[in-house]
Amino acid sequence: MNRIALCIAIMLVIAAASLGTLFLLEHSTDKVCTLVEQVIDAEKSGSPEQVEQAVTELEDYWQLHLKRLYCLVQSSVLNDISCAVARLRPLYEQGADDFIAECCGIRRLVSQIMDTQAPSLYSVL
Amino acid sequence: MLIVFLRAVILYALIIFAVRLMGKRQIGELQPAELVVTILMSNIATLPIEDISIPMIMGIVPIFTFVCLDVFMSQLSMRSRRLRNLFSGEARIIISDGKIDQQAMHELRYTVDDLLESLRGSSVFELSEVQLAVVETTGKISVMKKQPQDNPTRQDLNIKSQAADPSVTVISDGEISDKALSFIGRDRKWLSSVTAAAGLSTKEVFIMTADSSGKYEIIRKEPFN
Repeated sequence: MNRIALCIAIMLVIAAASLGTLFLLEHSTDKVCTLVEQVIDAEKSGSPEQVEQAVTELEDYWQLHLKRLYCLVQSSVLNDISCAVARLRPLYEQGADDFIAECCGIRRLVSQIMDTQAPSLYSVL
Repeated sequence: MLIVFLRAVILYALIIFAVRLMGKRQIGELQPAELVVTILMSNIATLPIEDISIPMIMGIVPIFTFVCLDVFMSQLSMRSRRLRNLFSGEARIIISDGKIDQQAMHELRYTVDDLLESLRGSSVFELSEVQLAVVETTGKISVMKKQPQDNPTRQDLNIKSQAADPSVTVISDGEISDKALSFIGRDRKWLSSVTAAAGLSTKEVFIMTADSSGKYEIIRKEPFN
């Protein structure tokens, strides 16, 4: 009976951890998407200071949450996002045309994390 | 490489725990469902070790989920015969009264070679010696020989005998087993007196076996060079 109780406890811990993970991922990905939106808005407003500030904010947030995300998501996906985030500043400084495209790319990659982790019929199957 | 090493150490500990949680069974005694879980566990455990881009949690969660499901399933199987048959299958008689049930063999996909090999494994070399043969859920075959070919028992030979538990190991390499002592209804005081009578302390004993009647055997530790 102890074994059953232990297994029930393990299953509850797994369920709780899974829900916690989903909550954490949703919070992190939503925040990154919001920060990317801020970068796009700042670029559209034409203010270099605002862009600079928005990119810095995005980089800082990403660096802060990256280690935690490594425990939950395959690192190849996160590495792609890290590279894209690191490219933003030089792209803007060079006045590259594909700055906005890069931002949209980051947003897409980040939302893909949530799409693949959230339990839905298609992600389960 | 250090990550791989650390992951291997952690997963080793977790798998040992998971296997202990599943219960004591030898590989050869595993039921089909348990065999599947064991194979899956070993396969999943290698993924985060081989590929460090995969988070370790992706290995831990499925391993413990499988083990817990297996424990739940075995618990349910204990309560319901129908479920037990569904998960583990049923033992099937393939030789009854010396006659082979070819239909059962066909359904179990048991070949003649499999049958003869299993019989030989049970020390039966002539089909005509078999009274009953049953394929267990683990795939092993249990054989009952015909009476004339079977070994006689003490009862058959009218030899008087007493039912008694076998002797147990009470000291192993100088270490006393209180559990074994309590099994034979003795205590450390008795043990000390017995070892003292042999001119030894318990630390000097390599093996000591004893039974409930008080019969014992002591093997002394030998000094190593």
